[in-house]
Amino acid sequence: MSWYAVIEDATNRLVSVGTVIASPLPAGLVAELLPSKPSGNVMWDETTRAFIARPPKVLVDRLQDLLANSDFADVWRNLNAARRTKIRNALIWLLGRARWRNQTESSVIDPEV
Amino acid sequence: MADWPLRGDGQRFEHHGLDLSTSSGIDLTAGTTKGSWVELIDPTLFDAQFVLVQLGPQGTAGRRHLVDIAVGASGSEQIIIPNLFWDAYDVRQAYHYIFYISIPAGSRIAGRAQLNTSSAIMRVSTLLGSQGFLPSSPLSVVKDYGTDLSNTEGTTVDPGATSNTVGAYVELVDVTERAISQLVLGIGQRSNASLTGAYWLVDFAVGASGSEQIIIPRFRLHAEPSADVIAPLTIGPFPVSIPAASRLAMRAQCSTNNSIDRLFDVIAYGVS
Repeated sequence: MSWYAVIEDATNRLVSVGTVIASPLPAGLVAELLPSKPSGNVMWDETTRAFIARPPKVLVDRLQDLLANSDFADVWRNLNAARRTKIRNALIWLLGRARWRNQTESSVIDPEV
Repeated sequence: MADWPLRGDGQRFEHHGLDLSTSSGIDLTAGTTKGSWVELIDPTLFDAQFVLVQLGPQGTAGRRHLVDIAVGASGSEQIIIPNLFWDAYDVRQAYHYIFYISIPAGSRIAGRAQLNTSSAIMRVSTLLGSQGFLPSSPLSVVKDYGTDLSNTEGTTVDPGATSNTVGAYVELVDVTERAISQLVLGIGQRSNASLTGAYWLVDFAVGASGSEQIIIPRFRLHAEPSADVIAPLTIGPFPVSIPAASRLAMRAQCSTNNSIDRLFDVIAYGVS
């Protein structure tokens, strides 16, 4: 089964992806054969008029957020390496999945509104 | 809408697949391929024209599931509802699917599941309902569209790189097997563990690529960042009239253009 990208020819905007193409296509649209069905790991690039690899998500480590807190940083500076490791491991255990946040998300876990 | 009941009198509901010791559903143990059938009820007590399938909560976080519901004796189960999607990034996520289909009295109902990685236990239950006097002609067949069985996920919808601007249609199926009278949607978040706050407007359409006709316009989804879940997780049933051999497609716009957070996946269930 062949997959096609239906594209707005003037702007390279992707209009539709599929195996059943309108015949004839509306004015201004063209269909280009794709090598395979596009997966969720690729995305349309209007500049190259092709599917490109989707960049990985960048997450922020809340341990780094904690180090940016002045009160915590004051205490942290006075710890030796062994104690830093113990506290770091305890924080990783406590935070669980909440350790990683989206770049647009608050540093505070579940902040009060 | 001839397939919908004319009157809502004399309705009867019974819930099956409950574990009273946990106040929840019955456990299904699943691996990366469909597991063994687990009986939810045998026999059903009345002719049912309505079934609510409740998936979760409970399970293992970060797992995606596909659940089959079947009727029939042990060893000869016949699937009546295939591949119900449960994207349980958070174990608190519960999917509730409603189907107006006929299940005769005296039926044995069973469930089985698969998930995307390793193995886990999940919970499922079914609530059956009957119509009163003068029931409408019940539907009987549920078919899933857009299922990726090998990855235990749905079809990814990408709103595109420009926020708040509608993206491209993505095909769920090129040719529907049957005419569809009701449509139910299951929504997933592609195991995205840290969603940004976002809003979507989603179109459901039929027709060939380049000439899609929207039949369900701009239903809303939203993601709340602290909970990291998309809502709602199930939508429908919508009363529709989609001919057999139709192409189904969806598109969306999103308030974020983040290349990961703007995505969601979907499985459509056509009821005939």
